Amino acid sequence: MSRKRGQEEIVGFVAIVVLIAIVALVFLTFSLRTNNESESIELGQFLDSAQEYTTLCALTFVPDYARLGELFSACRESRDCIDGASACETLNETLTGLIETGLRPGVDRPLKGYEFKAYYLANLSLAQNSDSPITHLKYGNCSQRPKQHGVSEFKPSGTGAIRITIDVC
Amino acid sequence: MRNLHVGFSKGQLKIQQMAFVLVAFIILLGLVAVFFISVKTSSLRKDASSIKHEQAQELVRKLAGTPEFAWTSEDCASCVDLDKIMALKNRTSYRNLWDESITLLQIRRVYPSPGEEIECTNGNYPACTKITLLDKRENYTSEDAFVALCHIEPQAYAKCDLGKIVMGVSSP
Repeated sequence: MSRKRGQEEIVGFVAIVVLIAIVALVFLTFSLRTNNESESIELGQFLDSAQEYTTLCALTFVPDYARLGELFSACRESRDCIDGASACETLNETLTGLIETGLRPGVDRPLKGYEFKAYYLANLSLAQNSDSPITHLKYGNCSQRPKQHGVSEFKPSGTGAIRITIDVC
Repeated sequence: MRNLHVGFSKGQLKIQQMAFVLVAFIILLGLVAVFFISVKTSSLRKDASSIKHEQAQELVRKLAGTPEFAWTSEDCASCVDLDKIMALKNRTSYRNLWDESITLLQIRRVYPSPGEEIECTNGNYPACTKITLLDKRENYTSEDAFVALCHIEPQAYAKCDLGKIVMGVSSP
């Protein structure tokens, strides 16, 4: 009889320990998940301003040089600049220059890496990042670090839109 | 009578046991609560400082929308007119436009950058990297925001570069 009572008490104690462990686990998971990625106003401002940058690519005539934002559509349509350079090539070169000079990532710098993505979204209401990619630039390894997420930008392009995102760590 | 005494003592023991378990449980809960509150407080402090920083950045960005800075040739919220800012540079009548707490106001070209910092003058504009509108040469904490610096090229087309508005606010 006393052995049975002892077993009951052990079961109760184990139940309390398990309950507390579950609560602690839920709390830790929640707090870690919220800290791992945050939206950054600075990155949003960077994306807005970078899109207005005047590139060296004229799509119709000189000196009607295209803005960086216009090169996303031109790259998707595989167009070339008047000087013969491909729009995608100019887009990637200019973007790399803007990100590396503007955000200054590096091994010995506060920003260790970045990942820039641009997609064409045919249907905004069913927007998914897997919709036709336009460009993807990456530097460093951000998989194990907390990230800051650049606000996605939607730009009208024909019937769909273009989503631009940047993650830095 | 003797049996009754033994039963009472067992009951007391049970109550005592239960009280100990309750006290231990409450202490455990208290420790968890203290841990939770300390984590939350540190996260709140971090959030507050981050919000303060973002508000300051928004304030700097608001400057880009003022008539003295705004690029009105096309619909662009993140563009500033570098030609207008250059015209503002040496106007003493605009010295009182800025808030008393602002000790530094600078517009810097970020990309493309020639490498070294060159202050803009009427002689070297636009082949320069920064325009200082205000510098009281006092201690300050600075905030900056990305903007597109637009101007009209001599060939009569608009050209926008990547830049920053830097604002210094006097430190208490």
